[in-house]
Parts: sequence; structure tokens; C-alpha cells
Amino acid sequence: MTTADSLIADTLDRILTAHVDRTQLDAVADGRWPTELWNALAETGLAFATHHEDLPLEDAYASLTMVGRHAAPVPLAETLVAGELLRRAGMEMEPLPFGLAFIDESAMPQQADTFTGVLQDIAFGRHLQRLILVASDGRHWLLSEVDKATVEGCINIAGEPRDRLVFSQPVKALPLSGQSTARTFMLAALTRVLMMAGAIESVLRMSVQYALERVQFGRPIARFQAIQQQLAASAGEVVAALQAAQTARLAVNSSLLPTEIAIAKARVGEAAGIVSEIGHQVHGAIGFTYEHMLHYRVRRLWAWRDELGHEAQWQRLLGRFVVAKGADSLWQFITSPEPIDLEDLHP
Amino acid sequence: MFPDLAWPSASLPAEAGLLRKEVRAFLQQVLPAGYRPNSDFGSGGDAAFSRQLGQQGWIGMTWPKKYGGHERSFFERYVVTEELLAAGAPVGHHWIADRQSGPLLLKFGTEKQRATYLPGIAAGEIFFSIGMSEPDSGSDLASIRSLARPVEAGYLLNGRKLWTSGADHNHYMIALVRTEPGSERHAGLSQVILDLKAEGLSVRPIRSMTGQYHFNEVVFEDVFIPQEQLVGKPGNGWHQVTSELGYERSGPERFLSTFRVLVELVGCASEAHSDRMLILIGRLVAHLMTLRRMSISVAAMLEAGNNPVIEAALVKELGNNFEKTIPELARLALEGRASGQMQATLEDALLHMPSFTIRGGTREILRGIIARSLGLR
Repeated sequence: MTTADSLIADTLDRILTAHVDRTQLDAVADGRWPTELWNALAETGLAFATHHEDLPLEDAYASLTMVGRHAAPVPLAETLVAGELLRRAGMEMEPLPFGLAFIDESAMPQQADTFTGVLQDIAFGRHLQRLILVASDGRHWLLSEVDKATVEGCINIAGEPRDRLVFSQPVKALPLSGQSTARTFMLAALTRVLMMAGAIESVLRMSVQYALERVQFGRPIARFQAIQQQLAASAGEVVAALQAAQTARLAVNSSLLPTEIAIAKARVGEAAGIVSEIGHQVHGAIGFTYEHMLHYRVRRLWAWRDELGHEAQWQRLLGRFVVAKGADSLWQFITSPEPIDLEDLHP
Repeated sequence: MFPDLAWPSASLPAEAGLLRKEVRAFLQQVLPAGYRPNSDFGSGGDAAFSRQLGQQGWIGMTWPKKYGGHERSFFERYVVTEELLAAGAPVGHHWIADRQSGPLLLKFGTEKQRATYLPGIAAGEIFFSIGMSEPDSGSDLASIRSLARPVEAGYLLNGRKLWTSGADHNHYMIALVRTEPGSERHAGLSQVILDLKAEGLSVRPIRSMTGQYHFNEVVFEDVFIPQEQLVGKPGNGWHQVTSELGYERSGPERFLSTFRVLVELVGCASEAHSDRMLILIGRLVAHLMTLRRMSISVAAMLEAGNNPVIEAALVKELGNNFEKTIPELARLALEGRASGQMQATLEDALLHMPSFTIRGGTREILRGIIARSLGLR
């Protein structure tokens, strides 16, 4: 960890420990906006860190690992990506939560400066005023009247808002210059990788703690080899996930980002499933109750591993690239990776 | 205290790239073209190849020059070892001496022992075995019974070692034996250098399920060990043995043993047009690249002078599972259409696979070490 990393991590840890609890998580799932939590994040400036010139991008995105660790119910990921896009376009960023919407050709704005249509799976869409619209042909727009949409509230398996926004009347759409849809998609995938890494580590910590406290057969279940062996296997997955996530984050300014995102989204997504499964097994029935905090992480892991390309989609891109290079080039690719082709990856 | 599971990112330094090219050019020249076997350090050696490697300066790379070493970094050694394994090179003869016996002598050996053995190891001419397991002591290493009874000017050794790779052709063995009669468990153990041609020492090859002979039973009947063959302090054997685990368990040999299966599979996939195969290859590549980074991160810890025993256990645990996954999933993705080199490589991998999670510390022992670091025991 660099100094900037740990400074950000400590600050966030404090804020999230103070503001994220069961009541808040359930309230957000029921449709409320976490005002205090968001304001606390906004005040530190961390929510808009990717828009500032003075903080390296890899440090700015690091806060998402902590978001995952605490299962914090805020659109920090989307806001951070929006910050980078606005910065690249040379545009100001208002201190508001942002959304991100990927659309295909059929949904692209017909008029140069307005948008009409339907957007799906918009994180925290019901609470938003601002959103970046990302078209498959590379164009991006800033929508500044998102609250004019009719909201059909939807939630994912974790209870996070993933709303359907219907714009039946035209709203203003301001073009962003200098964007690449592939990069925006990779950044969005990176946010899920980092959030998953944090949640995965958190699930292991909770499981170890529980094993030390829970007494059966006259001793803590941590003393049983059957439990130790499972948690050790889980720890291996956690190390791999953290390593893959960190490598992807540090590649945020590198031409190798496509390769690193593919590796990380595939590997961390796989670890998410394994660590969750072991976590639940160790917790026994109590971990399956709504009362226990475990499911707030596990359900998010299940949601995030599917968002922005699940494991097999990224594995296919990676596999196709190395197969096209040929068997004799495989080892060269492993030791000296090249950027893989993202051509036909589309949300 | 919960351990920090986020390891520092480490990458190989620029000078490693040049070295990698040299190694590849050398391997292209000395290895036969075409078919390459899985490179399994536990089997398949070639004394002439080891000598050539020594002449290149690629054995004992990190050791001081005065002992025949080359004073290069752990990263450079890493490049050489991974290139050898990926190419399917016959590394079996010198592997243990380079990885473990040499570093052990450097750390605990006497000046005379270093001068006697290290230059020969680095030249690729002296090969070592490890003598740890016994008929009644496998994972429970502290239960070993081979006894080296102190006598005038040395010890008299009786007992036996089991699963000793290469004892039939290697020159020496560093054995963990009991030097204090009546001692128990971790106390009273010492490491000694045994001449595998010594009087009273006999080697009985054991055929493995692969049909090959690469491990042995070694029997000691009143073998005299001169005092000067003791490594380190008497009674310090357990500590010395465990100090080597970072080297033993973190290297690329813990996840590359079936790499050639993946290479062959990529070759098949370019003809098969199977989506399932593409997804599988992508999955395996993502695992492999992550493991390699973990392993390089541990190499950086070694380079910094640390003793990453837990980190090495994590690399081996995850790496061995990965090595075992490749052939299992490859055969399914091939849907029974494997032939020629693909089938040969697959079968070779399957036959060796059971040993991966046993040798060098079983999966269960490794997980026990990891569990302890988590505070579970």
C-alpha cells in the first residue's frame, strides 16, 4: 500500500464504519437515499477524486475496495467513473451523485443535443439528477435532467437500486469530447472488481471471527480441522482476488488495462463464489438469516460478479486472444502480456 | 491479528527481459524441436543438460561468486526457473541442489562445506537429494526415528528414508535425523550431509504409478558420518528445515507442472472453434497470470531477505490445485477428441498429478499452516 492508499483507506473506513449499518442498508433497499452517508463522502472529496488533477487515478479508485468491504449503499463507483470522463472532456463536475448508462445503436439520441428513450439497470437511478450516457459507437453525453424521467424501481439480488428510467419527453444531452466506450466500460468493470475484492476479504474476516466465537462440541469450531481447512482454502482465493484487483487498478493508465480487467473480472468473480460459499458453510444456519450481516456482502458479490461482464464473458475474450496468437505464443503472452481485443464486448 | 492478505505488487526488473531472451535462445538450441513434455521437476533429469546450464551460469545464480555463484537477484533466478519449466526442460537432476541444498549450506553450512559443495552444485555437476520422510513419518515429520548416535569423530546412523527423489543417481543427501538418542518431536534433530555411496547406505528404487523410478527408499545400516558433515548446530535441525520452506513452496514449479497441457489445448482450440474451449482457456490463463504474480511477489519478499513461509504455503496450495485443474477440465473440453501430442501430454499429466498436492507438504499440512496464520489454531 502506498501512503495515499492507506490515507484514503483509513478515512473511508472511519466514515463507513460510522454510517453503514443494517438500518441504512435496508432503508436504501426500500428506496431511500442515504443522505448522511453520501454527504460525508462528498465532504471528504473522495467521491469526486477522479476529477481532480492532483490525485493519481489508481489512488482515486482505491476507495472502492473499502466500499465493498462495508457494503456501502452509494453510487460511488459510477460517480468516480463519471468524474474521470468529465475531467477528460474538460468539463466541470457538480458535487452530485452520478449514474452511468450504456446504450446500443438503436437507443442513441436522434437529435444532437437531446435524449428520449429508455435506460435500464441504472444504479441508484431513482435518486439521480446527473448521468453519463455511453453509446456503443464511442459517443458520450451528460444528461442533466435525469429527475425528469419516469422511474420504474428495480433492485438487483442485493437490494441495490438498478432502475429503469423512461424519458418520454426530450431532456438535454451535452456531448463529452475525447471518450472511448471501451475504456469507460473497462473502468466500470474495474469498479466492480475493486468492490468485490473488498467484500470478499470482508466475508473471510467475518467467517474467521465467527469460527473463533461459535462453540460446538465444547470448543470453538475454529479448533476443528474441517473448518480450518475450508477457511484456509478461502484465504487462498482472497489473496488471489486482492492481487488480481490490485494489478488491474495499478494498470488504470496502462495500455494493458483490457488484459488486466479481463483477468481480474474473471478471477475475482470466481473467488467471489467460492469465498461466499465457504463463508456461509462456516456460519451455518445463522448466516442464512436476514438478521445476520453476512448476506449484505454475499448478495452484493453475487450481483457484482454478473455486472459489466461475468466471468465467462471476460474469459472468452482472453481465451480468444491467446488462441488467435497460437500455442507457440502462449508463454510469451503470460510473461509479457499484450492488450487483448475488446471489439465485441458489449454490455 | 488478521494477516494482511493484500501482497505488494512486484514485477520483474528490466534486466530480466534480456536474460529471458538468452535463456530462450539457449533452450531452443539444446532442446529437441517439436514435442515437449510437461516439465515436472520431480521427474525427468539429464546430467548433460544440468552441466550445460551450469556453464551458462544459471545454477546457484543468487550465491556469492566465491562459491561459484553469480550474485544475481532472486528475480533473475525466477526468470530462469520459469523459462526452464515452461519449455519442458529436463531439470530434475540439479533442481533440489539449486533450490534448497545450496541455500541451506550458504545459510547454515561451515566454510569448508560451502567450499566443498557449492561450486560443484553451481557447475551442474553435483546433485543433492532431500532426506525427510520415513516409513512411519510423512506429514508428521517431527516423528522421524532415524538415529545418528554420536560416536568418536562423528555419528553412526541407522534408520531409513522414504520417497527420496533422485537418490539412485544423485551424489549427496541432506538428511534430517535424530542426533540425541531419546529425544522427542522437534528437539534433538539435526541435518547432516550423507554421501549416497557411503558404506552401509543402500538405495532401493520404488516404482511409481507412472511406471518410472524417481523416488527411492534409502536404508542406513551403521553409516558413519564424519563430524564435519553436520550442517549447522546440533539439535537445530527443525528450525533449519522450516527456514527453507519459503524457497521450497513458492516457486513456479508449484503451478507449472501441467503447463504443456494448456499449450497443447490452445493448439487444439485454434482448430476446434469451440466456444467452451475459449472460455476454459481464458479461465486458466486468468488463474495462471494471477498465480505468477503472487509467486513473483513472494520472490520479492525473498529478495528483501524475509522468510515468507505462510505466503509460500498459499502459493503452493492455490498453485497445486490449479495444476490439477488443467488436465481435468481440458479433457472435458476436448470432448474425447484428444489425439497425438495432446493425448500424450494429458496422460502424462494425469499420471503425475496425484503427487502435486502431496510432495513438498500436503494440501492438508499447508492449509493447517494457513489456518494458523488466520488465528484459527
